[in-house]
Amino acid sequence: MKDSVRTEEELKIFEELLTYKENIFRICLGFSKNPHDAEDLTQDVYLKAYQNIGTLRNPFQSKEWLLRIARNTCLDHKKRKLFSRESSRSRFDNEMADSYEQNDPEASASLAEQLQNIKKAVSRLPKKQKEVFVLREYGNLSYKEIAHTLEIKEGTVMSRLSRARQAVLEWMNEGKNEKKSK
Amino acid sequence: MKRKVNEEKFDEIEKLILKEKEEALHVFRKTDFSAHLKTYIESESKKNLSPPFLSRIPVPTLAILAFFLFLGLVALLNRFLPPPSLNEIKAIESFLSEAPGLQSLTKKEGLTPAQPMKPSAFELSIQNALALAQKKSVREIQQKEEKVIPSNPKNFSPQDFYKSLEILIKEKKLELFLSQFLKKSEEV
Repeated sequence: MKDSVRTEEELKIFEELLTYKENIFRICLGFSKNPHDAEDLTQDVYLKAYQNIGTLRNPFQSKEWLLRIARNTCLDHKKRKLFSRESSRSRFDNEMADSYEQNDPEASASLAEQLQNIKKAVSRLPKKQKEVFVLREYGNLSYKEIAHTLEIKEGTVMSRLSRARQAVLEWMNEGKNEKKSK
Repeated sequence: MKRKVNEEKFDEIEKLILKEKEEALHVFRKTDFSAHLKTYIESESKKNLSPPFLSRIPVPTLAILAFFLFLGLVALLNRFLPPPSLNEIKAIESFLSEAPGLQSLTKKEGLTPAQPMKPSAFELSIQNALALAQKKSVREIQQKEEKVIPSNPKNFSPQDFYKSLEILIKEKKLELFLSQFLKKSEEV
């Protein structure tokens, strides 16, 4: 903890930041392999935000600041390969599985497989395309917000997103064709 | 045309992602995230509390510091503690002579505990050389004195007297230094 004492203003900003927790969770879900990891990552994001809240210069840009922390935290975790915590089925995973199995078991198995394929395809994307793809498709951010967060032009966001979608689509089709040939 | 087909296909993927997000969020909303976060922040802040001063110093630096402290302590003890008195030395000697193991050892080797050690050949040669040098310097001084002091006291001027006195003082100093050095070497 850089400074354990937080001013009232800082605590107020942190409270405001907590209103974006679902956005952050969705983004973390896009970068991680499962919801359990996504929840852990969301906690890490808020811990970093709490520790560094003193460095936030403009409170009006707190959302962009938090999104930047989320993106850096997720990419950092990816580098350190901390996404291998799939061994034990956590409370989170069990509940997810239950919710799938409440419907048709065959359909839920197919859905789980398709989701797995999407995860694989996203993980194969180059870093720059992946961050744009996740922020758009999982974080539901506008082009403008993505451009602000990544400090790039909106045009660049669009072109990267288009290339990322194309690549994901191709890999998904490849996966389908491989399955058929088997 | 191809682009439109791709967009349609990607709509399917978007729907799948939407489904995944909804399911995950459904479970996420059930958890008390704020409470979990609070305990997480508290536990992390406890972990990161600044360690005590000494634990932040690297081990080699600590070892060097400890060594110098020890040296300082030894120097202080040497300076302020009085040397052992004769009585103390005698008491230690008698205690050692009464010790069963040492008693037999001294008897066998024919040594008494307080017997002084004989100087080695090297030490003797140094002592002899120093003694010779002292004798030589004394002889030279005597010769000079004879030269400086004229046989006829009537021709002797006050300037000559001061000169001879200066030479005498210098030589006396040298003699004193040599004699002290000789004494010390004998002690060693």
